[in-house]
Amino acid sequence: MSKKMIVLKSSEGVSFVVEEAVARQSKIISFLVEEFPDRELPLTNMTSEILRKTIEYCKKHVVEDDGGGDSSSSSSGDLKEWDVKFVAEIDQPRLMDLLMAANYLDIPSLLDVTCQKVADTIAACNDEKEIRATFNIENDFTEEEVEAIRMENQYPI
Amino acid sequence: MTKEIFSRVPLTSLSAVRSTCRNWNSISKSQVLCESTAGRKQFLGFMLKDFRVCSMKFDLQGIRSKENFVHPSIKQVSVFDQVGISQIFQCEGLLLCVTKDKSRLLVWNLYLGQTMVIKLGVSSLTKRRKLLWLSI
Repeated sequence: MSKKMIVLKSSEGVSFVVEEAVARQSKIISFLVEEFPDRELPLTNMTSEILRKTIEYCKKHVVEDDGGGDSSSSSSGDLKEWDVKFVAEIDQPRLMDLLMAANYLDIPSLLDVTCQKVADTIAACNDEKEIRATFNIENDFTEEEVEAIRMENQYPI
Repeated sequence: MTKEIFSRVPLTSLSAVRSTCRNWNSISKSQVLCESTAGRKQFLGFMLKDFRVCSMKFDLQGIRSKENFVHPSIKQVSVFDQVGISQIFQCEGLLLCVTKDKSRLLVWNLYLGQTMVIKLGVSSLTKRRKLLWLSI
């Protein structure tokens, strides 16, 4: 039996042909496939680059129903290692885009690994200045407020 | 989504997170950091190194990996930078520290990021009787 393929279209209009089982890891796509079968699905807020990354992740995580495929043979430990490597290779802005994509397409496991990576990045920063620089956040506190927070959260001597 | 991220940030980053910007400060007050740690099977504990409190974090799932050792991440906790600590005790999200000079006890509420100092003193009532007092 041949596998059913579906077509996803990025914001630049590039088409990606993927196996239905791969794409169905997204709850949104799963829903759309049922509602609009045999139709190209436009993902207007996802760039080709991010869509390609998302598909790469879904391909690795697809669980084959027929048991014949070799892609399902990876153990959970290997998969976890693969996930760590996958997010480690992505730079900060793209990681945020991928996180948004996981949220938009509703892919819980991808949302989990991307959120964890962002959290680990925050934890690796030594102070708030490093966090602001890493995530390009503007300091909107007044000096008094910074002092008040410091008093609240630091050892009071 | 910010909440999804914050629930995975370790408590030791609380002060830095709150000082980043107004938005993060308000989110971190309605959202407990580190909430999902238990679910992720991550261990967070505290230890002493040269009279400094350090947090120690490792992934419990790592224990089953091929290697014989897990590699914990150890980070000095800046909350107690100014004083030497000689003993720590922890219970239900509270950390009790005894200062090196034994003059004070410090209580740190990990979840709220608040600290409190308890002063200790011994007064001699008579030659044989001594009074141990605490003041907050």
